[in-house]
Amino acid sequence: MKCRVVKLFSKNVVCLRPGAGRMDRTESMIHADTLFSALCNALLKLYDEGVLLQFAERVVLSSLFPGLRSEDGKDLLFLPRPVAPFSTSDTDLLRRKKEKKVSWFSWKAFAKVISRFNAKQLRFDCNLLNEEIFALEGRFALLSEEKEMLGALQGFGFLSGVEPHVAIDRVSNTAFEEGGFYFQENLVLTTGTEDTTPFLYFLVHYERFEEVLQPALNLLVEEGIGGERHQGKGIFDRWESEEIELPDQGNYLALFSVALPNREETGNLIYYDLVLRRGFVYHGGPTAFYKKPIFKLVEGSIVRLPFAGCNIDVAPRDDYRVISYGKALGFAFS
Amino acid sequence: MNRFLGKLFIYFEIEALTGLRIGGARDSAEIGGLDNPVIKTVDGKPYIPASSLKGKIRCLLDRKDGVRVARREGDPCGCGQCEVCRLFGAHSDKNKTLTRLCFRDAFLNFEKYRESLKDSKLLDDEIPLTEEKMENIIDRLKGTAQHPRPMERVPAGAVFDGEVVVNFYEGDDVKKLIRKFWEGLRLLVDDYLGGSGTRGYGKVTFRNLAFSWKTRKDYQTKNQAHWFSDIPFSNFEDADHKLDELCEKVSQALYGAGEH
Ligand SMILES: [Zn+2]
Repeated sequence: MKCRVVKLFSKNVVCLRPGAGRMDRTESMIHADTLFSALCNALLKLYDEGVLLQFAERVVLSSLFPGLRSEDGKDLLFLPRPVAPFSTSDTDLLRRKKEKKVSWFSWKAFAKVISRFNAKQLRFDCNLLNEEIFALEGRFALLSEEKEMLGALQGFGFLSGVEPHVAIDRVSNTAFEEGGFYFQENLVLTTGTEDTTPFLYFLVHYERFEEVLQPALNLLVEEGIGGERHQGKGIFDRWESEEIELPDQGNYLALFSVALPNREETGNLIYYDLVLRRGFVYHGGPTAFYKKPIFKLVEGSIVRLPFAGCNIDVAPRDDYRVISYGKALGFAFS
Repeated sequence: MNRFLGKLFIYFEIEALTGLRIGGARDSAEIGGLDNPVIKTVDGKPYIPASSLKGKIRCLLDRKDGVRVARREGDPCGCGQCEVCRLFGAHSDKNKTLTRLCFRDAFLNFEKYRESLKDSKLLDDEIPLTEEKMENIIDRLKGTAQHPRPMERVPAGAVFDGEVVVNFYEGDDVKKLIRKFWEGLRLLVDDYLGGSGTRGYGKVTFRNLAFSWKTRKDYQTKNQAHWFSDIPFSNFEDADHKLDELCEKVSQALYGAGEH
């Protein structure tokens, strides 16, 4: 399947606030459904509801993943670790710890891992500690042929940054005694060296990319993704895109999005973790409502094909619709 | 829901005219004796969080204009009608309004900061990004200093790059909203940013201001911004004198496009 890779760049620190129900907590990544609603908001600002509904029905997209542009302009894109078990014969506990820490694979390393799937035992016959094949740096795994990038990976990754906030009493002009002082956690993508540029990217499949999505992306980077956008969190300066071929034939799928199975697809789950998705709905009206909370499969889950996933209405009331994204996009393999 | 019309972008440098202290400690509640670091990015450089600028400007406007409706005494305005509520969002569950202002964190402009220190002949790796100052509390009876504590602050001369975006929707009085925001900037220049303002910290000014805007149509076509002036306004007062002209131009661009 032909997809677009959309890369989001910021001239300053990439700082996001994917809320986790509390100000002092963040999610560890921006999930596809959050990205979807940010895109829908941008679309609705530019077009009418017809365009939005067509988009919501047709678009398939991934969550936001980290990428790194090296000094010579080469991009390394990372994918989340598949949830299924890996075979490691290593008995050295320290080395096994190192293996377990890996949570992101370069595309090449990911393809290598996927090619080692043992369908009988439902696991990856793949030893990440084999230095002839893989090169590890903290939470990242590369192929050994990509080793020259290892240096650039030092200091690269997500960190949580904590910002103290003060709520000032308008009467006394000092912090409120109760609740006047609190911490806000943000998710920050950093890089250890000045010559490399960290960015976030996602994959999207949508026929009307140039015509509809491109203008929405122009607006999206300025509007932001995730929480606390009015403090500049989740805002970018520019985006780039290129085409990519995503394998779509096979018996299995490694998910790149938070997905919700259709009723008849629930028997196709092999290895998965769940993430609770909840939050508020603001509908231009005066009051905010809680969305219906719902569990979705996490990125990296392995399912049997066919598996399309579905969007779901999470409106707490009958008088309007709130679409929560749950379609499956991923890497197909056998 | 009202249609989105477009955005006004305001770029500026914030220069600290006195030491600036946006800290992790509870300044205003005067819990002393603690470590008093200033807020820094994950790579250790001081910055001005968007929320500090946004919060301070709103607070100054709320105090000047008066709070009409508040959830509890001392809260920001929640009326949903006044210009402050329209710009910053009503602080209320009942009168929720769109937040039109979007601030960005202001990061240290190291080049400009170095320039301000050019007479001191320091090398790059010697240029201090922060300084420590001892603060005392004077015992009113004995007249002696007590509880000396180090306070970290960003030295005078530090320059930060800032950006604010104002979103406009159909029905907005564009000129009124821009003027109200500008009034907030003016109040800030006359007040202080961060902690210990009453002790002379946090006097700031805006320099090298530039303005651009984009209409809804611009996003759908070339995504190009329209600039108000090719050359930035080197100081706040010069930009101040051009404000009426800016308001007129932005309002015309947003409403005069005559699309659809
Ligand atoms: Zn109000």
